Amino acid sequence: MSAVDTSLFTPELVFFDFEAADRDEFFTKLGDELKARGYIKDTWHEAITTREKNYPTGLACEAVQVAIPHTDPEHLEKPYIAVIRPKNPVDFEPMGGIGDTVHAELIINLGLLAHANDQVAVLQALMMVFMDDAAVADVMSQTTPEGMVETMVKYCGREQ
Amino acid sequence: MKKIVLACGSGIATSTAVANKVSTFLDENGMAGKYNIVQCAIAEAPSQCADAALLISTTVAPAGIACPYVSGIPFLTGMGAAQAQQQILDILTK
Repeated sequence: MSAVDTSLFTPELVFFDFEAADRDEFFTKLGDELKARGYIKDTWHEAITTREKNYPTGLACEAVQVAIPHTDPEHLEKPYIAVIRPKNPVDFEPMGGIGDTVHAELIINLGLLAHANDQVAVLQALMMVFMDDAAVADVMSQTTPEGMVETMVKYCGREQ
Repeated sequence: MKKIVLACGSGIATSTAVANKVSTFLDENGMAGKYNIVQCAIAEAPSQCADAALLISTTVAPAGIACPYVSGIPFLTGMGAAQAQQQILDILTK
């Protein structure tokens, strides 16, 4: 397996107490933050909204309800991973249409480039984190952007 | 050689994560060298599945699939993973 590119985690894309009443508002506000920092193109918002509608990304893991919204690389200026803890859970539909609406307490927006294996490895590493109660507790207890990045890098960069 | 089609919305992200888990599991269960995984976007799945033994997807199963379908979600969430693994083994070894 490829090494995990943990350099995509950055404190400037960690958001705590992110306020959004619903998914639309979430994508609008997140898009503003990403655009202001030069990560995405103008087409991103419509692309991710449509993608989420067609292929929802809510995942009801045992330890945490998460969502991993993402869209195609042509809407990105450069790759990134944003980690958002919403103030109140944001509803996402379940991936694969299986199960109930996911009340996402943790949202990881993956801005990955196509066929960059080290980046896809990040997704795989994240899945291992979501299944690990202790790791999830650690992630959810973080209170600073730097601490969150450090924690994500610690768990995603470990040997699998 | 059994062809496994592994699909997601774009054929890039979640399908890769699931593909790695499925191949690790199959190799551990004596299936190494007996299958190959083809990743694609779900829109391409109907044509890719024409000569496939199995479709695993992180999306809803599309209409017009010629082979059995197993959801790839358990490989992402861990919920129901053992059952999904058994389903896959049953389909490939029948």
